[in-house]
Amino acid sequence: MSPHSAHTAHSIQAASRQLEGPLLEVTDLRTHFRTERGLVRSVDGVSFTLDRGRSLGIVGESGSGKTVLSRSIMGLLPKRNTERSGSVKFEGREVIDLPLADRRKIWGREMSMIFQDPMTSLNPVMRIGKQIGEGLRLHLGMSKEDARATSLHLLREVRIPEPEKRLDQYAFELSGGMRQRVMIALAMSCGPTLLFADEPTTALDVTVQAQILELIGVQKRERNMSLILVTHDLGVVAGHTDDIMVMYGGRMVEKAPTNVLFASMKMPYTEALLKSIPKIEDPSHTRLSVIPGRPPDLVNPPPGCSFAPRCSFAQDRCRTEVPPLITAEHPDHVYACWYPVGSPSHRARTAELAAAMSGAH
Amino acid sequence: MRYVIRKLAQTMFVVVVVTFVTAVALRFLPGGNDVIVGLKAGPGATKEQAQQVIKDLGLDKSIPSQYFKWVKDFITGNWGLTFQTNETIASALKRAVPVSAYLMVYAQLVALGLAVPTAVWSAYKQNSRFDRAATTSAFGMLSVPNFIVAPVLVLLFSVQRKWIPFPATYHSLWDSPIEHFKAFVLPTVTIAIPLYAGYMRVLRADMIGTLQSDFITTARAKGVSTPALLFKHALRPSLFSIVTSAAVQIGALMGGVVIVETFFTLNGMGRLTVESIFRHEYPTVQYCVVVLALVYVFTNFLVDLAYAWIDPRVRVSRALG
Amino acid sequence: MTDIDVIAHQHTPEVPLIDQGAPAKVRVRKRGRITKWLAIGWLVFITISAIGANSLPYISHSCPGGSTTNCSTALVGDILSKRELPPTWATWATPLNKTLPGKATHAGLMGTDSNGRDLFARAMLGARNSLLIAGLAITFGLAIGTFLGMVAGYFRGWVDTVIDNLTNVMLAFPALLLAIFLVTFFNKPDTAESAAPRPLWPIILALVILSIPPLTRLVRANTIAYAQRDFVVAARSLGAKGSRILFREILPNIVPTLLSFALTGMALLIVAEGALAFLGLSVEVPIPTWGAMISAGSERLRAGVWWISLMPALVMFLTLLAINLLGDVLAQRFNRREAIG
Repeated sequence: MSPHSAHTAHSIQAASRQLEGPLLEVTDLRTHFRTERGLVRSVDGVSFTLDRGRSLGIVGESGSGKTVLSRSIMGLLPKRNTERSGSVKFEGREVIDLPLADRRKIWGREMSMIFQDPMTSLNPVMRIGKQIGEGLRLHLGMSKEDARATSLHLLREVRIPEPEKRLDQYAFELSGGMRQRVMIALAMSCGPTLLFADEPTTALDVTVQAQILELIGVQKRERNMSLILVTHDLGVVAGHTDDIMVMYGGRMVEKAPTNVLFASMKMPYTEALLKSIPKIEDPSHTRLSVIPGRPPDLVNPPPGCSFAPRCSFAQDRCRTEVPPLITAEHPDHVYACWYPVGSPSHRARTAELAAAMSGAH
Repeated sequence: MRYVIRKLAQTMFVVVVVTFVTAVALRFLPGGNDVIVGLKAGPGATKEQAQQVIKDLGLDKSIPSQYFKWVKDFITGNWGLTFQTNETIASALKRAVPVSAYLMVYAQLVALGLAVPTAVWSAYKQNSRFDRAATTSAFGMLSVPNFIVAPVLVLLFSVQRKWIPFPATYHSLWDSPIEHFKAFVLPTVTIAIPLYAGYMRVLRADMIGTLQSDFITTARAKGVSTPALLFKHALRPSLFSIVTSAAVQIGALMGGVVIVETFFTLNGMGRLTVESIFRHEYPTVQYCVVVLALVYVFTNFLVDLAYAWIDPRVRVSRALG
Repeated sequence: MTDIDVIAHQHTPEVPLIDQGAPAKVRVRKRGRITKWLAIGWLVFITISAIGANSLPYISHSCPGGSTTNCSTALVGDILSKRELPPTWATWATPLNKTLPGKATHAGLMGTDSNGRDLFARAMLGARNSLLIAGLAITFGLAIGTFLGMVAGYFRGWVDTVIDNLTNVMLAFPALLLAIFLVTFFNKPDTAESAAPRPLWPIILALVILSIPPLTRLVRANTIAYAQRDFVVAARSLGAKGSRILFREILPNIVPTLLSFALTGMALLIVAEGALAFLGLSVEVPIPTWGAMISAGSERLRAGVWWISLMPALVMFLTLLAINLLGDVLAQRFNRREAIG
């Protein structure tokens, strides 16, 4: 079997396994870490579903629990000092309590992950070809030669220049962008159905970021994968994912299809995130708005809405009662806010703030 | 390649200085030439005999020419005779070297063979009961000098249980392997204990660091099994300090060999050197020290090469820096 | 580093896994603190015993006539009845046979040696020379090594080349053999009257010479690291003199590291002295060192008389353990990596 055909064969096999229902179903997932300070509630009751071939962007500041959420779904967290509860169903099968041996069979083959920092996430002392080939040999039982040939093919697919040469190079001999391409090739190697990309462009040069995102998008389409893209940058997910989920303080605070979210975002936090991104149409030297304050303490979260202490629109109710998830006009649009953007009280407060601003000048 | 040449040059420099110092040291011994002549030629030596001894040792020449004569003799194997038995120094060393070589190789094998798995598992299960037992015991082992371990082992295995004869007599590995190992087991254990403890601590510390790095998570996410994760991915990047300490400990290891060979009456390099020092047989001491120093220098050279194997970056950066 | 790594690795080490339920109570490790104080306690005890052995009742009362001089010199009259008696506690566990009828069966905390001298008293007396030799040697070694290392590491250039290469050459000679050679060298081989008590200084000198190269190397590495730090560069840019920078800026910063080196080195030198004594090269009677006691006792080991060798060995082991423990505590406090070698 030629390496290439081995690869396609596997893709077909993956495609033939299509089942009914969503690919991923997360229900009330909680991940808490025991620490000396107390219990850190990094993920606190998140539920969502992801269909085959769809992509979801998870957005939030650092410490919002987005990275923990993705690793929690994959089951990658160390077991020690971690408490996980809730349900994660992958292709209809509960995977949250699988023993390590079974999780290993899923990793790389069904779900795989691209990490933030390509400088540190590749093994410094193992040749590139071997690192990519390892999963192929492990999951697909390829011979050394087939694995090498397939790795070469993968490196071509992620458009690395001179792929033959790269196979025998080490990570330190490649640029950051190339390393991230290697990571993508590595994550793709066994044809996973679900790909996690955890801040895949944060550590890269601005010029390379767009290329990498584009590459991930192309690969996703070609392989009909589902994608979960984790980022702190609302701008990154805007053009690359079907749905967007905003996380704050370990909870989901808003989720909607991308176009719906940008058309009518409900959560003041989402709005604030958007405002903190520079826009091309702004005149130069426009002051970017920053979100005041710090992310919430996950050990002793504030009562009520966890964003309330930093929210310009917060009222008394926000500080005492946790807002439930409310469905907006669009059926797939949910948010957790008592006084969402566009509500009368929000509008009144906006006018007030605008007046104060102009008064100050 | 440049790296190798650079290291080789450094090594050669040390070799030259070491041999020079040892060769010329003969001149500056207390009592001077008379002592040596007296010892070698015997108390009732004639003037001619004494002159011959001085000439043999090159003591009548200038320092550089004495050194060159010494180097020439060293390379041609013309090492002269020991004072007392009139055996050639070369044949005395020939008998002694294998004994010490076995001892050091066995000790290294035992120490590394136990230290690597223990350290890897300790680091993986950090703060588990296994880890605590391993670290505590290693700490204790580092505080037991070998001249304490040796008597205790003899007491336990040769006096209370008569399992292993003491003092042991050396047998070659090929003629009678069982006797050979019986003679070497206690000395090996004595030397291996502190060696093991040092390796285990150093490797464990590095391994803990490595296991926290991102590329380990990458490997995990690939679906790699735990043994493969530990030994294929994490072990090699964690080897730096253990390799360094292997080099540094060669000196200590030789000290251990001296003690152990003396205690167990094994006729190896250590015992030969010490007894030669005691008998003031300086030419023999010279050759012993040079051989041991060469072993040390050569090991360090190998260690530098090992760095390059462990970390491909070294091949580039160390050659320049 | 991602946020989860921070959480995971800040705290993972100390807490045991508990399956589910309420937030686990975090076990803070007390063990380290207790052993630290035990170690300090033992060292204080040993030091006091070593200095004041002559007037300390718990030592002198076990010596014949209540005088430690009787413990350090061989007894003439009473030897036969008192020689090679096992420690008292050893007879509780396994009654030892082969004692002469009508004679005492055991004596004291550690038993007696072949000359009928009390081993506990001798072990405490032995601490005096063992600690004195190692302490003096490490002090001088550290002073010289620090000076050389700092000069080499700060000024670099040809000074560094010379010092560094000399260090390398010194290290190429097996340390113990060098020490043996130096001791025989200083002990004047031509005067073979072994009856005269050997002086302390040859062995101290040998150990000082032995400890200089590794200490120089360590200090040099530390100095190089600090010489590149911003505060040193700043001081230099303000026109501070080399000596001022070395002693005011760099030295205070490497002192903690030096302290933990000093402890580790002290332990190593106690061992080295012991090894020399074991080979018959240390100071001679009347007051023995631990190494000499262990060495003397090991001859009787084959006859099953273990305490003569093992009791001083135990005292030495505990002392080394205590010193190493404190060295470790210091090293951890000042965040030095695991000592290499």
